[in-house]
Formats: sequence, C-alpha cells, structure tokens
Amino acid sequence: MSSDNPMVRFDNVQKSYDGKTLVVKNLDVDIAKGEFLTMLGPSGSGKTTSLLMLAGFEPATHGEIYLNGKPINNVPPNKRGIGMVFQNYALFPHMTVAENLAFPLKVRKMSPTDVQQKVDRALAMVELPSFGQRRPAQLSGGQQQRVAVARALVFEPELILMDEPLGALDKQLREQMQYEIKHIHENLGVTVVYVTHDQSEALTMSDRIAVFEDGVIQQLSSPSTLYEKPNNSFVAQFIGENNRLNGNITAIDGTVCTVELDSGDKVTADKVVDGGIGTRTTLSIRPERVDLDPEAGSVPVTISGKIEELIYLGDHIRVRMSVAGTDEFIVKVRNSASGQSLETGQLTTVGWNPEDCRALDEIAA
Amino acid sequence: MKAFTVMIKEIIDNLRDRQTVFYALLFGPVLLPLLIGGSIVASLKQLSIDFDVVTTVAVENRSSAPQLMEFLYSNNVDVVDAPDNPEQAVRRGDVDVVLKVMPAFGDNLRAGQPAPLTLFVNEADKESGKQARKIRALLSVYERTLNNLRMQHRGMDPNIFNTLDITQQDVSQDGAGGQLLASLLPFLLIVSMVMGGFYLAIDTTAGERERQSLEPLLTLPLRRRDLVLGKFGATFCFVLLSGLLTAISVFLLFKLFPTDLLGSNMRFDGITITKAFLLASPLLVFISAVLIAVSAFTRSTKEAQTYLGLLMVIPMAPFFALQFITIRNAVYSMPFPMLSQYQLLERVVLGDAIPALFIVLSVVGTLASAGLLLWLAFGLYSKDRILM
Repeated sequence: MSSDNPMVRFDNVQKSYDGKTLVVKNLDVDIAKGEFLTMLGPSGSGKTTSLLMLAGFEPATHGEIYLNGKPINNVPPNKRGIGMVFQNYALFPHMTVAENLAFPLKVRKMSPTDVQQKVDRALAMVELPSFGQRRPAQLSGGQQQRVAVARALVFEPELILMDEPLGALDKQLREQMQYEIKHIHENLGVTVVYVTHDQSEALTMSDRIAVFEDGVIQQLSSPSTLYEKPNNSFVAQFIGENNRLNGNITAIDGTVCTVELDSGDKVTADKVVDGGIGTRTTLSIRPERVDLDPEAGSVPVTISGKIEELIYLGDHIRVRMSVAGTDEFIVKVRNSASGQSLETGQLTTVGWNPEDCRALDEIAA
Repeated sequence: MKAFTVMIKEIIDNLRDRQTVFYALLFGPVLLPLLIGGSIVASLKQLSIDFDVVTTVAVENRSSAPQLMEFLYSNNVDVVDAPDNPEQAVRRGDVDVVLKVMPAFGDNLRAGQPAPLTLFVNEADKESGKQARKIRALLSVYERTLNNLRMQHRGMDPNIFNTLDITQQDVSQDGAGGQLLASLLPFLLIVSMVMGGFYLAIDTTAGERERQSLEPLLTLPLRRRDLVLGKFGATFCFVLLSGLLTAISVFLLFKLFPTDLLGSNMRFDGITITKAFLLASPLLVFISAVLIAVSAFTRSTKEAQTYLGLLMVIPMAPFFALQFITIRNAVYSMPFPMLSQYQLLERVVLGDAIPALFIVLSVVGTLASAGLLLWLAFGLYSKDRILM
C-alpha cells in the first residue's frame, strides 16, 4: 500500500519525554493516500505517542514527519488540517449535535448555508440525520462516537486520526462501529491513522497494521499477512491465538528448517528466525491450523498428545492438550460428528503442514 | 475574529450550564446582596427606633401615674390596660411589653425618692426588645425632665451637676457604621464579578482539558492566542453581566435601607452606583484575566476549584482588612487592583471628591495587572504542556 509519494511519512522519528528513554525509536512509516493504517500495540508501546506527534500535540525529539511531502515538525496542530477522533468523544457538552459539527466550519469562516449543508451531510453519513438538536448527554455512547466521527469529517480533511475511538463502547457496539467506520472510510476515501490495542478491531478495519512494541514497529503488514506470517514471536502472540513450542534448529534447507523440540520430537517449519543450526527457536502454530488425530499421511508433521480439557464454544470445540512438553497446546475442532467423540484424557495425535508452522525468535517458556 | 467565534461558542456552551448560570446570574447578583445586604438592612431596621410611629403599650396600674401616661401619649404612645399576668403575656407574645407602675410610685415621687417602675420585656423576641428600647428611651427623657423640675423646685440650677461640657465632632460625617456600609458596595460588586466568571473560566479551561475537548479545538485553524482571547472574552461577558446585575440589585437593595440610618453624605442613588460601576469596570478585565490564567494553569476541574476557591479570599480581603486596619487613600495604594477599587468606591458612596490621579493610577495599575495575567495565559496555552 505504500507509495513513492506517501501522504504521511515518518522518517527516522524518535521521541523521548525525559531526554534519556526513547518511547518511539527510529520510526519509519509511509502511509499512502486513502489508506487505513492501524497502529496496534500494548500500553506504552509508543503507538499513541506516534499519533500525537503526527497530530502535532507532541514534538518529535529526532527525525521528521512529512504530510503530503512537506515537513510538519514545526507546523502547529491548527495548521495541519487534520481531523481527530478521541476515545472519550471530546464533544462540547452543552452544545447540540449540530452545533458541535458546525463549530469547525464556523471557525473556517464558511457561510451559514454551507455550514448547514455540510452538517446535514455529516449527520446523514453517520446515520444520525434527526439528532441535530440533541445534546451529547442525550445520546448513547455509540451515537456520541458517531457524532465525534462526523465532527472530524465535517470539514472534509484529507487525514483523520483516531485515538482508540471505540475503547469506551461495549463489545457489540464496538463491533458495529468498526464496520461503520470502515464503510465511511471506503466511501470517502479519506486517509485514516487509527490507534488501538484491540487486535480484532485492527484486523477488521485496516488496510495495513503496524504492530508496536517498546517504541519499535515489530511488523507492518496487511491483516492477513500479519496473522498468517508473523515476523516474530511478539507479533505471533499479540495477533490471534498461537501455540508455542521451543526447541533447537538442527537442519536448514532453504526457507525450511528442522527443529528438535525440547521434548525430543522433531518437526519441520518455515525458518523465520535469524541464525544457523543450533539456534534456539519458538515454533508458532495457529490452533485452527492443527489437525487433531489426522489420517496417516495426510500431514507431514505429527506428534502424539493427550486431551486435557474440552471447551464447547458452539461452532467449534476448543481442545486443550498436552503436546511436546506443554499442556497449553490448543486445537480448534469444528463442531461436527467427529468432534462429539472427543474425551478428556484421550491419547491421540496432532499434525500440521510445515508452512503453517513458523520458527520464530525464542520466547522463554 | 476567530477569537469571537470561540467566545460565542463558550458563551452558548455555558449559558446552558446550570451551575455557571446560577453563580453568574443568580448567586452573585441576587442571593449575595440579599444575604449580606438584606441581613444588614434587617439588623439596622431592628436597631432603629422611630418615635414618629404611634405604638401601643400595655400598662398595669396606670391610674397611679397619670402624668407619665400623659407624657407617653404626647410622645405617640397609646396606653392600654395590661393583661392579668404581664410576665406570661409577654413571654407568650400576647403583648410586646408591659409597663407596671408599682404601688409605691406616687408616694415615692412625692417624697423625692426614686419612683419604681417595672418593664416586662422578652429579649429573645426582637419586636419586644425593640418596643422596650423605645419605652426606655422615653422614660429616660421623662426622668431627666423630672430631675430638672426637682432641682428647680429646690432653687438649684439643673446644670450644677454638669461639670464638663464635652462635644465630640465626628469628622467622618458618617461614622464607623458608614464605613461598613460604604464598603458593602465594592464588596458585593467585586465578589459577584468573581463568582460570575468563576465556573465559566473553569469549564472553558481546566474543564475542557479534563474532558479532552481541548484537543479538537487545538486541531482547528485557530491560533492559541485566539483561543485564549475567546475564552477570556466569554469570561469577561459573564463577569460584566454579573457585575451589572449586581449594581442594579444593590441599587434596589439600598432603596430599602432606612434613610435615617444612612449618613448624611452617603449615597446609593443611580448616579452614584453608575459612577461606582465605572470606577470598578477595570476589574472586569482584571478578574477575567485572573480566572483564565489560574484555571489555565490547573489540570482538572477539581484543582481549578481549589485554587480559585482560595483566590476568592482576595476580593474579600480588602473588605475585611479595611474594617480593622487603616490604609489611607493614597497614591501608593491606587495601582493595586481591588484595593484601589474598594477605596475609590467607598469615596464615591461617601460623596468625597476623587483626585483624577487616583483614578488614572487605579485604571492603569489594574489593566496592567490584567495584561500581565493574560500574557501568562497565552504562554501557558502556547506550551504543549497544556494537554498533559
């Protein structure tokens, strides 16, 4: 999605609050026009600081941020022309919804007719056309957040920044709003930089996701690549569920390696980790990519295991097993007739294709 | 011009906030004058005795003192018969007071001895106490008249016991009570002005930071200076409105004052109140600037309320200080905001002439202080710290 002429460019950007510790380290990101990029990471990983630097609320300690090719480090927030949506909505509490939306336009000296038209259009866009005269306190959390989105969009900025905008909503509303924001983005073609710590939110909405940890982008990829091909153990465990098995690389054949697990079992996997034979590694396998009791020869890798726990989840059964020395090995089994015959304590085998198993940097057990 | 847009936004926003409206339009201009001024009016009215008003007093055994009854009647006191049990009747409030002429009254009077009278009064009852003070005052006059007659009867000059003829001339014209009343106007005006902008300043600065609605404002094409000026302008409007309403309510309040209690030169007419408001008007700017600067410095509504709550002592300080210590009206006191307005407004109320230099110094000193505070607020808003 990145291009030669990105709309936003972070060029070797660093940030330190105390002059000693870098909370953002050498950030290099290009964001294309019309892209929906999510900065995802745990608390303190540097994602919000990066967003605030882009908004102009925090100065970069080092490096340069570009907007449409122009450096903006010394441009104050009010001259960047960026729309922002915040977690707590940040609406003006005693103004009506229409007044909240009209204010950014009035500040821009638009005529009352234009203001009215744009306000009506923005309200229609967030499906609140008849809510103009209500005050924020008279709206639900989801409606308030829609107004906040509409206020950020009403003056038609090219770039919208969203700082955990759905964090205060309940799960059902959050999921609904994810689709609505995604649709608004698709319809308007506006560039969105979105900050969240919720991986499912990021996967649902984003064109690309930048996974932050310790002030560094661990991986910047599309949601599917991020999920299917994590670059390191942190990304693998942060995005989705993941089985981890530790061992040593004993052989390398191109991009594939053989790993002797600490239990003594030998398996093959995609080699992602740097290093040669003897390197410690953590294998990462998604639970849904593991076959339980596979037919002989159907998958190249098989290991024996024991069913420890069965959790019925409707459409699938979550099976916790003891495999290769860990008793937290999870397998997701589709709820079918075969799934009904599983029993706790049952000895069986698990298997997978080597391309579904990635040898990553080691995480201590 | 963008500052004006911000100002209108803040005014509309806060006109819908009940707390702000209550303190700006009701508490300062109405409740405060009623509470403070009203209680003073009530106390003064209670203490004052109007001898021109005809009152009725119950007297027991009035036939024993016909001349005294005649004296009371000639001084607008109608005498009626006392109830059977005077003590209980006064305690129950059936009558305000009962004057009992003791049986020995006539004999003692004739013998040149003190003639006994008993006045039943309920001091816990304000009306009873007030009635008793009036009767005691009249009886004192009657006693002095009898004393003079007795001495003249014995061929003595009544002035023989007046060895000194002391005259004290109070050059203040209106006395200590006048000073208190005169300082009431600046007190009510200034406190009300502060209350008028108090919650708006907190809401538009610390409150905005707390609910994080400052960030969206900062992303708009507004200079930080416009933002501060807009907030200052909105605060100024509320302070002005509160001050104006208070001036009107003080004018109406002093209409209720017993005129005989006001000093001969003390004025609370429309022209005086207008002059006082104009002299206090630089404070509109100063108070707005103080409120904005202090609340911009704070990070939350609670913190702002704490600091501004402490700040509320400042407008009250000159009022109380001037009751106990003498700070003469002088060139050195005029540049100080609030103190100079207290002094100038007192002079206006007391009808004293005010040197032009005093006015100039007061206006310049107050506006310069306001400018300094606004500069401080600009500085605070220019820093990134404003969001933290």
